[in-house]
Amino acid sequence: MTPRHHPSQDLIASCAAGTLRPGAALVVRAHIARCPTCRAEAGFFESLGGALLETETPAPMSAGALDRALAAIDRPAPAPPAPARVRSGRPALPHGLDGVTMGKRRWIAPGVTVTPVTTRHNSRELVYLLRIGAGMVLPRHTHAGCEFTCVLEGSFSDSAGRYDPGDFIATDESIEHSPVVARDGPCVCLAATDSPLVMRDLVGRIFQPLAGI
Amino acid sequence: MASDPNDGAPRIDGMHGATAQFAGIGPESVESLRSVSRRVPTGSPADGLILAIAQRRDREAFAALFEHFAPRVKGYLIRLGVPAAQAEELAQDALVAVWRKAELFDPARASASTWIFRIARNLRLDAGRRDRTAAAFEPDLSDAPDPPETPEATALTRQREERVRRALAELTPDQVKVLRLSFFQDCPHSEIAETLGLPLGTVKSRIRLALARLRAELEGEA
Ligand SMILES: [Zn+2]
Repeated sequence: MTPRHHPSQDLIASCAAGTLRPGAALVVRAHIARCPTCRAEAGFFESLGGALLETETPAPMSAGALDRALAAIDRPAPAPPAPARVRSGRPALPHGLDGVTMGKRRWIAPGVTVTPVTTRHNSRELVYLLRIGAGMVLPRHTHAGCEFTCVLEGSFSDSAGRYDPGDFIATDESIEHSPVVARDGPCVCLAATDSPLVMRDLVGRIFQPLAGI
Repeated sequence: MASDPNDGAPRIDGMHGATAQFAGIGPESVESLRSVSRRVPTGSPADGLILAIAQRRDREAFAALFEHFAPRVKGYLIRLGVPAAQAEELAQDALVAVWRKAELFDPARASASTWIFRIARNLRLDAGRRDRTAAAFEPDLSDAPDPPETPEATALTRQREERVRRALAELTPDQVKVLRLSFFQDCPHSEIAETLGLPLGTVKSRIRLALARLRAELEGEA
């Protein structure tokens, strides 16, 4: 099934142009990997990037640049680093999510774990895998900052609709929802946020009911 | 160039400074590349150069590709705000990466300039890493072809490339300018307006118009 919830055209364009913050780009790419429509859209913007590169005003290279490049191609390529290890029990990351490292899984509440994801790009965003058990209901909450989410496995619903693997969700302070995970299995999402408060927010939103709020 | 070991080699000459000319490949350069094209059947001369590298590590092809693309990659990086010295270094890295990754290039999926754009874009994103040199050479899935598509999708990909080029060539220089600024620099429209000394409304409508024309061109034949 192809996704029904897509990133905006602006997000796809800035992802293709390389101007989107890396964590957010990771989430957009997770969607694009499963969505032929957005893949074509991203392809359009990459073609535009190529065409703009072709017509870019050349900045002359310094003297001897070609000779240095010719010398560089004679040297053996540095050995590629070992591929990112995905420990057992972790969901496999979709195509395109190269170069990410999975951190230690943290238990947040019964049935809920968070695994931080480190992108290879420097960024102050928080990127994480959120795993929520089958049939769980998260309390009503809003999101600190701007948060992007892509469903990797399972599904959940909120008042706006149902989200299946590949579906993309953008949330911010203005969105308040109470997601319900489908009964037939846990839901795993990849999420990126620009807010440093997210962990507190996340823990808070899950512990709210336990605290009787 | 102090010493050019590639005299007489196939190269994409006559392209420097030809920024207004779309795809930039003039008749003379096509002629001078004919020898390469004959050996490597392909859509565009630059595609043939990358294939020549992939198939037989052709250093002359690399030199021609370098002369054409390195200054453009450098110009693109400077546009993004990368300091000139670092832009030069990254442009070097990008072209060396083209040599090392040439086998991953699939002309059915992307033109040479789109593929090199992706490599340069990813290198720039990696530039903040501590192990930047490794980053330049490690296999990067985002440079590799996407998962297999239907033959129809692949055919459309290449058509799209051609149409984007044609459509861009149709735009006025002003439209290309705002498109370039909004695409690469991710400038808020207000900053673009300031840079170009144009009213904000004009900038917005030019970006809209430019994108609409590109899209119309793309969808016209769908
Ligand atoms: Zn989509």
